[in-house]
Amino acid sequence: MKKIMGMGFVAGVLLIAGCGKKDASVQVLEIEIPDVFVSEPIDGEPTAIPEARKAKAGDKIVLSGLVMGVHHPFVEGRGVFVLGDDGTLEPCDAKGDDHCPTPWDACCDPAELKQAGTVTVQVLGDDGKPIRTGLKGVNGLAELSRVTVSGTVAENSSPAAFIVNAKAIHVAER
Amino acid sequence: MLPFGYAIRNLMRDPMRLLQAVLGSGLVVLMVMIAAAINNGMTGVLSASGSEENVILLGAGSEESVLRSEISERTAGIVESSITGLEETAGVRAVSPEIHQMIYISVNSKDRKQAFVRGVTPQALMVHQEVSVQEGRYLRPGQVLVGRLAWRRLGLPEDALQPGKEIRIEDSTMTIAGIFSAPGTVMESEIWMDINDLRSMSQREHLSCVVVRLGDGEFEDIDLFTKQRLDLELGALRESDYFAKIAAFYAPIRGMTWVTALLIATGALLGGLNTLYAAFAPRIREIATLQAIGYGRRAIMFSLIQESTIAALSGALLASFAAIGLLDGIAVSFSIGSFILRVSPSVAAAGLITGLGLGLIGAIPPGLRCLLPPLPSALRSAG
Repeated sequence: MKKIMGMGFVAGVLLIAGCGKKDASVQVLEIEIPDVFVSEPIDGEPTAIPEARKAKAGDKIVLSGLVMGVHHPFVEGRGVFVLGDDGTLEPCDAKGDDHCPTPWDACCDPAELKQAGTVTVQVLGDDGKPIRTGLKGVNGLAELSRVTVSGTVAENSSPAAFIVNAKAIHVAER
Repeated sequence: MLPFGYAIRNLMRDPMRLLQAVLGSGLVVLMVMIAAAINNGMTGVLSASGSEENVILLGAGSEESVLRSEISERTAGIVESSITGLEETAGVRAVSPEIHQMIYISVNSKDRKQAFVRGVTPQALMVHQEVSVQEGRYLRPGQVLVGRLAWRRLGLPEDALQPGKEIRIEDSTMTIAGIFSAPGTVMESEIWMDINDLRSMSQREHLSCVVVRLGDGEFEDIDLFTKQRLDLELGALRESDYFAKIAAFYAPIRGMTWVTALLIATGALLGGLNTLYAAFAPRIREIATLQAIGYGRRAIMFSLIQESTIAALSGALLASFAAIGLLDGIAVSFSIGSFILRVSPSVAAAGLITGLGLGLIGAIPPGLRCLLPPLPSALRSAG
């Protein structure tokens, strides 16, 4: 997969500054941002996730939803996140007077709805496996971010465990 | 400086008062050592119970407790065939499907006790490598393997759970095949049995969890699997993180042991201070005389601190012997297991530092009371 060759460097600056230590060391973390993140809205009408699950491996597809549906929607160190259909699932904070600290897990919705309304989105590397970079924080991607994804249904996808290989990801500004 | 012998002779003036001071400081030190041993024991057993190499796959939303978790029976097979990078021996992957359940057992048809029972397959030994059969042999269907501290957890005599004996679990009679050890872990308080026996006994259709041991794979690969198989509704946790969460849950209880020890120690400390006041107060005129013949206040205070430090350290020594004799090796139960109290170097150091602190600081208030009055009035005092 192409990468932004100009190398998106995210400056993760860690100040390891112990109290009173004179020589505080500064470490710059170098993170490659996959070029699937686009700033312009993605063309095409998104298919609702429950409907999209009928698609077969290799089918092109456009999906839209919120990053939600599980307690930890991102995998640390891997280019994968879980997208939830906001027509099917409702984040807990949308229910009003709910003080759930993790509203994106949609814990009030039944398991069947969660299964029908979620999809795994993965960004593949050249080796055909999910890239070894976490996506949380990239282009503002976070829990409950509104995301549109264009891609193809993965070979190892099934109606029960629906997986999409992303070709373009657009994160809407909050 | 006053000679060291002066402090020693003063200590011996009133043996009963010396005994009071020694016992008072000994009690404070013992309380601190007990609290430190309980804290070390509980923290130690919880941190040793979780391996960095093991990952627990449990029901999404039940990450707080394996007992509440339910996952599909087919998960173990899918995990075994789908995830690479797991430890493998002779072609068998380290994937252990398990049922964890609290269940009533009875020995000799007597009281029913609630025990932590783990339903396992032989692969459990590939994952929980700290487990070894100490006596007897590994279990077969119809048999159980008991942890070497299970008797303590169940409040039974030690000989109640010996190989060859029978126990009733729910309505079934099971034979104890052997005793296992898993040094320093909560598993030593558990009873293990065949997963199929437990499944039929508890009429469960689900597993509690699947525990896997990483080979050259990474935790992220397991977490990735849970996100790619959302249909299995799994969560992945490093075993070490799971027990770290449990340890955090027990932090207030560990705090309570310190508070209790502190309250008892405060009472003993006040009693000890009272003893020192009583020991120094009658010597106001003697101390004033020492000042009059040329000894400085610092030298006299130093001598008084020597007295109290010797008494406090004697108490600390006594407390250390008591701790080694009464505390060391005792099994203590808590809700998820048992741990052995140990008078470790850190516990002994905590006691020694407490004793030293009591001696050094405890003499200052009563010492100042003797030294601060003006010399003429002190010389005329009744003491």
